[in-house]
Amino acid sequence: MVRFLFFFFLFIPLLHAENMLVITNVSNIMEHVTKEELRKIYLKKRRFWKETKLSPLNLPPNNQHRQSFEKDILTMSAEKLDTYWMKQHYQGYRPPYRVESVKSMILFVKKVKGAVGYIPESQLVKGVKIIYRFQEK
Amino acid sequence: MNWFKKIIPKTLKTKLRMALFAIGFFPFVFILIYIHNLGEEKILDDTLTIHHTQMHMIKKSIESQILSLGKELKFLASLDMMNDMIVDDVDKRIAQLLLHKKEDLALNIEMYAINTQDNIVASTTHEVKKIFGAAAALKVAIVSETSYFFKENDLYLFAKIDSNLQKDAVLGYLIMKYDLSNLSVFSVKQRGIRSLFYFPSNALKIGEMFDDEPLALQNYHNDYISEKYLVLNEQFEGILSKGYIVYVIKKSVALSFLDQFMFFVWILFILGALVIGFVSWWIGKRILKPIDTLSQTTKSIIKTQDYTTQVTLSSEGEIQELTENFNAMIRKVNNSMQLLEEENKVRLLRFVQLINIFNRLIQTQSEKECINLALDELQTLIPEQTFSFSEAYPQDNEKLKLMIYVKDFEKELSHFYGVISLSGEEVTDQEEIRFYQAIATMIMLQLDQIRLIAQTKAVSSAKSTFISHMSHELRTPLHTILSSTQYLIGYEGLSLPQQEKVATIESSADHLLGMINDILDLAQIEAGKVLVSLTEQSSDQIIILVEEIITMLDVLAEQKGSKITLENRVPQVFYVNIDMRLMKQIIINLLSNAIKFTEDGNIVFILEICGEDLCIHIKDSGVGISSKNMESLFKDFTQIPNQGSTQKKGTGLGLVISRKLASLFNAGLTLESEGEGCGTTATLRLKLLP
Repeated sequence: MVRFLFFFFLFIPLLHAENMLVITNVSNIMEHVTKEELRKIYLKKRRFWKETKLSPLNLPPNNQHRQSFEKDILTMSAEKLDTYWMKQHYQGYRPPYRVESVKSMILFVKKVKGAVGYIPESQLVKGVKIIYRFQEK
Repeated sequence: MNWFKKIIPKTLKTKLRMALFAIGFFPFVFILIYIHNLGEEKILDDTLTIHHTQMHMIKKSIESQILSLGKELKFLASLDMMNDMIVDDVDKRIAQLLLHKKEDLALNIEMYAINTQDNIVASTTHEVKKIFGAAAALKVAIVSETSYFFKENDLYLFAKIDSNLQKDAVLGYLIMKYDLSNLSVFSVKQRGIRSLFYFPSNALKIGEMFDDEPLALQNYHNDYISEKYLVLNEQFEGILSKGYIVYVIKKSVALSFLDQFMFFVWILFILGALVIGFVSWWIGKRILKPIDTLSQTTKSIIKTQDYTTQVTLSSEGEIQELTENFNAMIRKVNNSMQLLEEENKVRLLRFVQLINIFNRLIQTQSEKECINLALDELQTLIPEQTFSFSEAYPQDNEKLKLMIYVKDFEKELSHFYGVISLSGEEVTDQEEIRFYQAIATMIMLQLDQIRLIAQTKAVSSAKSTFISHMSHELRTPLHTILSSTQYLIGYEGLSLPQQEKVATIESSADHLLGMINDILDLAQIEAGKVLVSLTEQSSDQIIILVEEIITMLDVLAEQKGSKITLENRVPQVFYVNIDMRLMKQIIINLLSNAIKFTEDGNIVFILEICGEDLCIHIKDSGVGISSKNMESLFKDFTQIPNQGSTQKKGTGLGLVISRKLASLFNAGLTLESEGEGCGTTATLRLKLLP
C-alpha cells in the first residue's frame, strides 16, 4: 500500500493537469492574444506585432509542455506539423526557435524583444509578461 | 720530346688515326657537352619544378584547410543554435556543438564563443564566464575587417554570430584558435627531404630539420643551393601569407637523377671515346693497309735485293695506281740493274785489259818494242779493227787516228812521232774514243819514259866519264905545280914574303889535289870502278889495323892537344868479311874527321859486339853536330857551316865517300851526336860471320 501510495504520489505531477502560461518580453506592446493569434504566431503566419518582430520559442519535441501546447493551441498533431513546416520551408519560413529548457526559454523571453514562449505556471518568474493562459489536459 | 715520338710515332697512320679520331671525337664531345648542359639544366629545372609542385600542393591543401576551417566556423556561427548566446548557453548546446566539432576535426584547435562583452559563453576548454584572452587582438581584427588574427603561435579565425531572433543584433563571435603546430601534419619527412613552415614575423619554425646543418633562413625569399642542400621557398597565400614553406632537400637525393644522368653521360663519354678511338684506329689501319703492304714489300726488296718481286694488292683508286706504278718502277729498276751489271762487267773487263796493256807497255825497253806491243795488244783486244802504225803525218781526218807525240826534254817541246790508224768500222762512241786516247796517252808516256831513261843514263855516264877524265887530266898538271912549288919552298934565294906566297900556292894546290882525289874516288865508286876484294878477317886483325892508323895520325892529334885511346871490348875472336884496304881508308877518314873537329879533347876507339854486328865506335869530345844538320851530313859536297870559329879545310866528301865505301862490303856507317858541343860518335857496323 505504501509502495502504491509512493508511486501514486510520484506520478501525480504527470497526471496533474497544470496551467500553462504564454509569456513575452515585457517591452512588447501586446497585452493579450487570442488562441487563434497565438496559433498564427507559432505557425509563423503572423510575424510582426505592430513593429516588433516576433520570435516564438519552442521546447524540444518530446517535451510534455510542447506536446500539450501543440495539441491545445495549435490543434495539430506532430505529423501534421512536420508536413506543415516542410511546406513552409520551401517558402523560406522556418519553425520557431527551439530551446532545450523552460529556464532557457524564460531567459530568452527576458532578453529578446518579441520573443514568445510557453512555461508552466509553477516556473513563472518576474520580468515576463503573460499574454495567454491555458489548461494542460 | 723523343720519348713522346717513341710513344706516338710520327707516321702517316698515326696522323690519319689522330685526324679520324679528332673528326669523330670533337663533335661527339661537343654533342655530349651540349646534352650534358641541356640535361643538367633540364633535370635541375624538372627537379625544382617537381618539388615546387609538391610544395604548391601542400600549400594549397593547407590553405584549403584553413579556408575550410574558416567556412566551418562561419557555418557554425550562422547556425540558429547560436541564438543560445543570448541566454549564455544555458543549455550547453553551443559548448557541446563546439566539442563535437573539435572531435570531428581532430585537430589541435580550441573554439570559443564569446559575447559582445568579451565573455566566454561556451568553449571547448570549459572556460566559461571568463574574459576572452585575445580580446584586444580580436577588436583590432574586427576593425580592420578581417576574419583572422595571429597571437603568439596561434592563428585565430573568427566569425560573427548574428541573431536571427533579433534584427542586426550581434550576439558575439565564434572563435577558433588554430595552433600553427597543426601544420606539422603537412610537413614532409621523406628520405632526404624535409619541409619546414616558417613564419619570419615571430621566427616560428614548424617541422623537423636535418640536424647537421642549421639553415640560413634569411634567404627564404628565393630558392638557393647550399653546400649540401637544395632549399626551396614558397610563400603562403591568403590567411597564412606571412608564412613560407621551406623545402630542404639533400643534394644527393634531389640531384640523384642528375648524378645518374651525369654518370650516364660519363659512361657514354668513355664508351664513345673508346668506340671512336677503336673505329679510327681500325679505319686508319684499313686505309693504310695497302701502303703497309707496299712498305713491307719495299723492305723485303731492300733486304733480299730481289727486284723481281711484284706487289699484289686488291685495292682500287689511288692505291692501285700507286701499286701499279710501284710495280712498273720495280721492273724498270730490275732491268736497269741487269743492264748496269752487264755493262759493268764489260767495263771491268775492259779496265782489266787496259791495265794489262799498260803493264806490258811499261815493261818495254825500246820505242819500237813499245809500239809493236801496243799494236799487237790492241789487235787482240779489238779484233774488228785493224791497227797500223805510220810515221807519216796523216792527211785525212776521216777515221779515228791516234796521234802520238813525244817530248823533247831539253827543249821542252812536243813533236810528232807517228800515228796509229784504225781501219774498220767508224768509232763514234765518246767513251770508246776516250779509251783509245787513253792507250795513246799511255804509249806516249811509255815512249817519253824510254827516252827519258835513255837520256838520263847517257847524261849520268857522260858525267862520270867527264869527272874521271877531268880528275885524271887535272892531276898531272897539279903534280907538276906541287913539285915545282915544293922545290921553290926549299929554294933559298927567295925573300920571306915570296916564300910565304909560294907556300900559299903549295897548300892550295895540295888542297885542290885532295879534292880531285876525293871526287875521283866518288866518281869511281859511282861508276862502279872500285874493285872490292872481300877477305875473311878476325877482330884481332882489325885491332892491329886500328892501332896502325892511330900511330899514323897520333902526330896530328898531338898538334891539336887531343889524345887517342883504344878500348877493346870484344870478349873473343870474331870474324868479318871485309876489304881491308877500303876499311883502312874509312877508318882514316873517320879518325881524321874526329881529330879535325876536336880541340884539347879525347878520341876513343871502342870495339864491341852489338847484336849480330861488330861495332867500331870512334867517339870524340869535339864540337858535335845538331840533329838538324845530321840529316845533310851524308849528302855530296856538304860541310856543316859554323863548325867552330874557322872553316875547316876539306871537300865535304869524306863521310859520303866513307859510307859509300862501307856499303861496298855491306858495312853500315852512322853518326850520332848529343848536340852541338857535346862531341860526336861515328859507328861502323860490320856483319859478323857465323
